[in-house]
Amino acid sequence: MVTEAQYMRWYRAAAGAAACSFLCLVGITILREERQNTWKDYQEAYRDTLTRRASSALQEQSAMEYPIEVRQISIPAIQRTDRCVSCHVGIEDARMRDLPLPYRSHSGILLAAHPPERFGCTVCHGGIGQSLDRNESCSADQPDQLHVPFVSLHAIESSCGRCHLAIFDTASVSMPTLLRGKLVFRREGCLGCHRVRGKGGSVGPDLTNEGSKSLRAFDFSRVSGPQTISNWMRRHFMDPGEVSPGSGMPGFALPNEELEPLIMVVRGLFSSSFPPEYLTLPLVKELKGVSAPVEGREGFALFCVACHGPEGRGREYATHQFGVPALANEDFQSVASDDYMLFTIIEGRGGRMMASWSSTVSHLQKQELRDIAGALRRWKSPFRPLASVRRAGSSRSEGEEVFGRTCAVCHGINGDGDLAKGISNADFLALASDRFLLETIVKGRSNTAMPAWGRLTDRELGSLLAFLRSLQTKPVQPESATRVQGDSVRGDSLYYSLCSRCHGRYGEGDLGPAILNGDFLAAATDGFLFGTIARGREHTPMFGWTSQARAGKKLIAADVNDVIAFMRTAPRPDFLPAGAGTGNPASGEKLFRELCAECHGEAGGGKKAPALHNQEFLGAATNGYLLATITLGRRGTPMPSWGTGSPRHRRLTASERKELVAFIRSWQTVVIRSDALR
Amino acid sequence: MPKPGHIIRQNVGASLSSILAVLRRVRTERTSVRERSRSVSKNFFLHMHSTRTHLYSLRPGFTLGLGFLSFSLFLILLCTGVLLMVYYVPSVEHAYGSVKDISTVVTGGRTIRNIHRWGAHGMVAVVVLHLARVLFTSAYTGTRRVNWMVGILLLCMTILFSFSGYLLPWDQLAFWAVTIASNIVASTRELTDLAGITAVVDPGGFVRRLLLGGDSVGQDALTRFYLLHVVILPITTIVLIGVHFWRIRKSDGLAIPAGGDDLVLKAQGIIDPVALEEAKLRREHTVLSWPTTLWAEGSVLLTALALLMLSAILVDAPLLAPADVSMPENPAKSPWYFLGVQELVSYSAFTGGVLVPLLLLVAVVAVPFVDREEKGAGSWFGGQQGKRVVIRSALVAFFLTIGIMTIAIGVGWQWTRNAPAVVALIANPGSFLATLYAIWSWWVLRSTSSTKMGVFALVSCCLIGGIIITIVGIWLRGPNWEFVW
Amino acid sequence: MNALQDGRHETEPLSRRDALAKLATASVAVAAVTALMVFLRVPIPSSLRERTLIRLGNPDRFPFNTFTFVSEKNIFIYRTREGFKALSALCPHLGCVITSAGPGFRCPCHGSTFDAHGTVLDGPAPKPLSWLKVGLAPDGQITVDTSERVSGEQFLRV
Repeated sequence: MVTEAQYMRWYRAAAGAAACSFLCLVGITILREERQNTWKDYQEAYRDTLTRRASSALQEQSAMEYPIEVRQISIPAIQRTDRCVSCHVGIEDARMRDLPLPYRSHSGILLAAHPPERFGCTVCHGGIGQSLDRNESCSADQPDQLHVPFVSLHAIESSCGRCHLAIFDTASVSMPTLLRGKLVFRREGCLGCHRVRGKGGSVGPDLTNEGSKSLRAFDFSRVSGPQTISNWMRRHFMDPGEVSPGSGMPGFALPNEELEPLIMVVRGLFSSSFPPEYLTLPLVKELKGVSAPVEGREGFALFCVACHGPEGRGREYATHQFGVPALANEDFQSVASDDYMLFTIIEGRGGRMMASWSSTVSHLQKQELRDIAGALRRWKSPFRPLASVRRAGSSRSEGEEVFGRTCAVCHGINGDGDLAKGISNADFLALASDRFLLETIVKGRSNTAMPAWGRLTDRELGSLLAFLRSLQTKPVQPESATRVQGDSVRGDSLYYSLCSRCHGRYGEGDLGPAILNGDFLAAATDGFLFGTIARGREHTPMFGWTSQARAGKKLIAADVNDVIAFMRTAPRPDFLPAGAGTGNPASGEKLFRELCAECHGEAGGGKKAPALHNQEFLGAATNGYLLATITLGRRGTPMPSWGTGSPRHRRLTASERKELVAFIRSWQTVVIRSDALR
Repeated sequence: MPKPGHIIRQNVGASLSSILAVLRRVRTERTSVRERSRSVSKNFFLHMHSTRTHLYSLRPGFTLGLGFLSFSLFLILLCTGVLLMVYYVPSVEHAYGSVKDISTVVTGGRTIRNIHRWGAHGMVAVVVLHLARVLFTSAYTGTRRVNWMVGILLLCMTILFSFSGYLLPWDQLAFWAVTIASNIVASTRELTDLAGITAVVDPGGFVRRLLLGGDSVGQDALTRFYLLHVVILPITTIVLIGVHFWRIRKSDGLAIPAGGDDLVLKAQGIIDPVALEEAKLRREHTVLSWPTTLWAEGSVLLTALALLMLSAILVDAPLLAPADVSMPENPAKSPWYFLGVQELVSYSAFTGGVLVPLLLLVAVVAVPFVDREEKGAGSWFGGQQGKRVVIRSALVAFFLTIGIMTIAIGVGWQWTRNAPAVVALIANPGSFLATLYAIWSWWVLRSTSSTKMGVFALVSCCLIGGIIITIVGIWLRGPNWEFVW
Repeated sequence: MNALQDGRHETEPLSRRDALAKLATASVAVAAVTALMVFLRVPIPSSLRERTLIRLGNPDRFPFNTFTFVSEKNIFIYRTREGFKALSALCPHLGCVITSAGPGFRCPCHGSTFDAHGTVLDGPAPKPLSWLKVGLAPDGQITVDTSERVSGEQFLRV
């Protein structure tokens, strides 16, 4: 057992030893802080340099009094405190250009426009400004490891993007690499899948903040080579499926002088929480979503070319994992109406790669979308006026030959009608002027099975007209441009009770042709309409409403005027009614399985061809569109012309084609009311 | 009438001599016994001690100085904490920056922060060890029962302190650790969901909401944690420490073995029984607290300071990237003292998060009520039997825990997902281990017919088991909480 | 004072002074308890920053047939032509925010993986993801009630 005195000795010794070691450790800490404060060494060396370079006694005096202290630039407006200047002491002194780092003055002329007291250093250079230790602030070995990556000098222009990079503004940015990258970005159509600052596609991730992502946000498990952000992007551009498995992004095999600037631009995308006085005006507008509207062709180039190609050629379904329809295809352009195009753009194709571009999703205004849809028409053959067709001359026998190979497949040999109405009808030809016929042939009837035949030459068109005229039996009524006056409200009820049974509730056509059709009403004069309604068409269910009384209802001229007035002013529904041309779906199913399933998929899901069992597609495509597509096919793609047949595909009769359409139509479960039609 | 100058000189001289008298008193060899005892009773701080201390309790190997070590650490943490408060800003936008500034620019800031952090971790460990020491020397019996409860309260305060301070740097580590831990608190929901009464009764959710000031970790949570850490907990802890020390005095100092007096006097050479009694009356087995006890405690304080200083130099307190709500850490781990709980929670939220900790708390609080044996109090393990029981329990717990954890890790989580929720609640490592420890200690209790041995067995099992699952949580769990070896 | 304490039998009625004294003591006790209750009630949050009924704006802002992540509210919205569904993005294990991975989801904290219906495929999550109730506000906005769970088959038809 220990005595009190022994305890005292023990504990006093222990306390004394602890106190001494504490004092030693405090001393060690102080020394270590001194040694690790390399900034002090730098500042002392700099002070010596200043003293040496002093050119006057006054300068020498102030140089000797150069304070050794922590220097920092604190900017609350952008919430930064940068202590880089504690080591980089000579940064603002232009005389120090010849010194090594960190004493050297800032290179170039940028500092004049970007004074450090307003911008700090990390805004451009990245890194951790608050730290005083080199490894923690701007580590040279692993710059990307910092949670705010230190931007290496070869990628420094990407930081300019924070304030200067406006993607949608056509004005050039003053940084050459960034400008190049911006042009490549716009040209390659990245915005078709990726959104930047609200505008763009929704298939891929939003790139608005790509520049502020730290290293941790990237998955490097399949990236070889240097583990830096730039390298990740490089590999990703070259083979996205390899770096991000499951990605639908195509590879971009760009040459280095385009790839590097593109990477710079992508790394220069920041959503910028900076106050607006730091940003350029185009960028402020973009961030606020009020930049100038894109016009049609530019819009197509920005948003659509990545998938649809700059020439509208699309991507072949047979060879690519994700096929894309060819928009420039002649048959497609002649069959698809403007409504179809705009509907598809706005609604997209649910479940497929074509996303919805409606305003709330893409932030493109409706007029911009309309312009883009309009820009697609540059692949459509232009309209030819009657005068130029007349000048080309004509020949009846040629016309018969053209008719036989082009029109007979729907209108029947001699125009007696097969799938489509008989155009050899005497009453029709009596009322239809050359102008009417030409407009109908060249423009087609949108949303019906009548395509636009602008691909025919002037001479062919003239010959067709001559042939059609030769079928005429009754004398021609001269065309007059007088407009009738009528009560459209009364005409509405008359139409609904009398005409809609055959011509469809919305005039989309059923037993009778589509008469509330924009193209038809534009081509037909009031006289044409009056004559047709009043006298009817012989040998067809259309009887003359003023001459023949059916169902006890005989119309007087005023009634007909009312109907015509209604037709001229009838409002369009906000969806596309399916229209005429259906048959028995059960037989259609058999045909589909036998002929179509191989490419379009067993359930129409689209294998090596576009998906047909798609609500948006069925909402855009009327029965007429389907009929015309099946009948004519798409020349230049694997879709054959089932109306004419070929060595590999048999010819389908009109009723067979109608049965197919009925079966396809049976997949439609919802009626999509679209902004495109309002 | 004496001249004014003379009066002034006299007064100044008198004041000087009274000041110097204080200094003179420091030289202990020259003071009398009376002066020494008076200095303890007249001084506010020294009055915390009883005037005399038993020689036995000064033995370093007896108490290991753990109690005073905890208190020293608390004092050091208090001082470094106050210094940190000068620069720290408890707002979500500025917290990280202010801590970064402390580590980089503030003079000595890095050291102070390191001391604070390692002191905090050390305090949690030391307090647990102090609990183990008090338990294994049976220093909770008789009048010391109340003090045991106060000590448990202090343990809870320590853990709350560490937990509330963990969030303050607002970096990735802090944010996700607190997110995980606060969700563990809410794990009563597993039970109330089964019973379908969560909408009405949700104690875990209530506590979570109270802690966080909402449903997620944000500014409200930071404010509340800061309030806890610098106001509520310090005041409560200081009051409790005062009560703790006062209770020690009321129980006549630290617990010593029954024959402690005799041991000391015999070592001093007094053997004759009559002389022994007389020596006891003259209190020759005790010493005056001033200066011996004070030097003993002072050496503990200084040793703690030196060790913390050393750790501050060797290892820097971590500061990861600023908290980012969209980028969870993988794996997101709570502070190390909760990792054992988190490991159990990964099998069953309720059992691991609520039931097992609650049972542990109840068991520990109930110890002085279960074990009322006075025999063997004050000595380590109460004799040879105790030593055997503890070693055996430790071995049993070691193999049982490793065995059950191996099975649980091998089986994985598949079967808990496919089995009905009630089964998962009942059959998981937490409940298995708790049951097995209980069975083992019950068996020890019956076979030795001693509640003390039962208690020793249970606590040894819990300690060893807790250490093992904490090790698993710290080092053997990697990304996606997968087992890494 | 002593007159109150001694010389009083148990059966004697209380004098006014005694009654008032008892009343005073009682009111002090009640005041103390009330003060304590008020003190304890204050920290309990009354207005949560996070509201359980969340408005998500115009239905048209959500594209079809994808999961759209509403990051501030930790919800995935899934829209088809039939209607809307809402999926909670909080992992049922310990509340981390899940990310979408392939057709399903993954929790980065402890590696639980889920499929597109919210069923647990792997990892320590004890139960599947919660589908939340979608409603329509009177002004036409989509609302989600994070406190009400529904089955995964329910749609809000718009």
